[in-house]
Amino acid sequence: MAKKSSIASLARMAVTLSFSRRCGSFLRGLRWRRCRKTNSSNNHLKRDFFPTKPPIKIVITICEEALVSDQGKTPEDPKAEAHSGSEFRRTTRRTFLSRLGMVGLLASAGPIASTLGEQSDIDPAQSPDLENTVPVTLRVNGKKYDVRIDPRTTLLDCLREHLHLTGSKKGCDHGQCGACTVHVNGRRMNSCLCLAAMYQGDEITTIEGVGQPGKLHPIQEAFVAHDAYQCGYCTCGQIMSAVALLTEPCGPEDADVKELMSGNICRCGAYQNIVAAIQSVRQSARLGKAG
Amino acid sequence: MKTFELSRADDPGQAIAAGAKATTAQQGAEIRFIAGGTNLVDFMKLNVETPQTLVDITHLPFDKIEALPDGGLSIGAVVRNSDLAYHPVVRKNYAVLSEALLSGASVQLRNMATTAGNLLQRTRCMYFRDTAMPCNKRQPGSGCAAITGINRGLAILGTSEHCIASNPSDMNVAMAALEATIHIRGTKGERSMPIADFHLLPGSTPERETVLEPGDLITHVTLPPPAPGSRSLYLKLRDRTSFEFALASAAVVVTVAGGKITRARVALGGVGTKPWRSPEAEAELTGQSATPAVFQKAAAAALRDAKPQSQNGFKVELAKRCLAHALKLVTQTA
Repeated sequence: MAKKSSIASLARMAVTLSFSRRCGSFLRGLRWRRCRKTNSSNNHLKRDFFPTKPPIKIVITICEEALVSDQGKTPEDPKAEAHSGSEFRRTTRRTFLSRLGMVGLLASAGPIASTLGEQSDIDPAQSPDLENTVPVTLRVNGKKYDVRIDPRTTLLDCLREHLHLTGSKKGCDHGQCGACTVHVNGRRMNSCLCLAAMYQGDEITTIEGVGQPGKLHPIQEAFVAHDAYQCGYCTCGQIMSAVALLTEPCGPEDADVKELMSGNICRCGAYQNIVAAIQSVRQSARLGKAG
Repeated sequence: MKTFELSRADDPGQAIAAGAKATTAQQGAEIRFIAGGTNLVDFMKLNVETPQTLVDITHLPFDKIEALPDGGLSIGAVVRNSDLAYHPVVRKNYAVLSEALLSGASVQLRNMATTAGNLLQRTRCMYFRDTAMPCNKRQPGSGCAAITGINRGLAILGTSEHCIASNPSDMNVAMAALEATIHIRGTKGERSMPIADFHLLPGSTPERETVLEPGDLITHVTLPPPAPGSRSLYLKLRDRTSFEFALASAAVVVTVAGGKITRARVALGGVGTKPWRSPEAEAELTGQSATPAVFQKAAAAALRDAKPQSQNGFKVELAKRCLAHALKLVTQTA
């Protein structure tokens, strides 16, 4: 029991750290939007952009140990095991956070349940027939998905939480930042403002369907070549917009590209390189046509 | 977001029957039609809109842009803003509409937003969006926080002591200058009206923004044939170059013949509680030479009744200059 209670307290600590970081990030996001609206100086942006982050990697280790110990399956080196993915799924920031959520709930409720590992491995796509859910069939990247979702579920949340296609990002969640941009029937849209249940029968393409390692889309290659990102959070949305832009009516100048890319905000300010990357692909396409 | 039921209308009758069960089609409607969702889903996330039922109307046969026998144009209710903006007939005959649409929002939003949705676009007043604050438009009788609060972006024309929220749409301004007609199908059949009669002034009932009643479904918008020899233009002034709402904008449709303005249609955006057609400016222009002095006189007439608030006095001058400059640009090329 002593071990369990100490695990619970570690887990509580992990939850606290993570929560404060997420809250901090949320508040910074709000502040950023406000200063963007009021055209504040760059200094303001810089200050907001370099926050002091709690040591998230340490938290991951604690959490994995908590999970592993409680299942009575403690490998010799839980840390190495958790990261090797040989017995447990590979830990990404995302799976960590979802597991952490459960640890947090259970830690505050009392002793950690013995079925913890199994619960965290439930595939939400196979979610039970809960009240107020509707069956929805989506076609994403050429693949059919059947899910049951709350009608309130946005396409973005459905992609991320139900289909585990986490390339599309949630930034503002109000159609202002473009991080969630996906293609619906070849046209770019803000998936955060789409109700998923309304997009049955449509051909949805996410960043996962645009290119693969070793076989990148020319826009993706150009983003790498031109260093068109810093933190990378907006990048998937930027790329989805840029890929769509190639087939949209767009003038030849940088200003034309900037105008059509204005629905994608980059908090790092990689705009110049983003425009350069897009222009390089357009230039190549023009040369290709001319040749 | 409050929970709701989502249903899909496969024909207009279904949508109308579903919508007719609501007690209002205005603020607080229990049943909402949804198409692009760019405005509605945003407001639902903020709990400003809390419909119990959403009726998906994207599958209704209102997605066409068609030439009319009289030379005009019919635009379906669920035609996407980007399709409308890039339509060859719109670009050629109704440049002001194409320019207005392309000056609004982002590509992603224009790919989603529809004609009827844009007609019904709600204000960007921050107090309307903030359920913790009083707002007569959102919660009738609760008061107006904007009059004594942050009102830099709000209206100076058509305001009342109950509401000073500006209509944010660019498309509506162009349609006002083009004298568009709105076509509605409801429980009592079909009716149509000029866009000037479609939006209501806030008065003492700012929660009522349009003439729509429960069950009313906008089916399409028609534009009259372009006036012979006319040129049109949309000029939008804002805090950022792109992806920003207008502080002031002007839609102008002008015909110049023999050095005189023979016909003028003028509407202003960003400054009115509804898309602001200005017959006063049109009267000042008609029959006059296309000179800066005439443009300034017209601009002064358009803003004569302006009532600035504590933070938006600059809009009076800005809107005048916007209109005068738009008139200069549109007649320059004539």
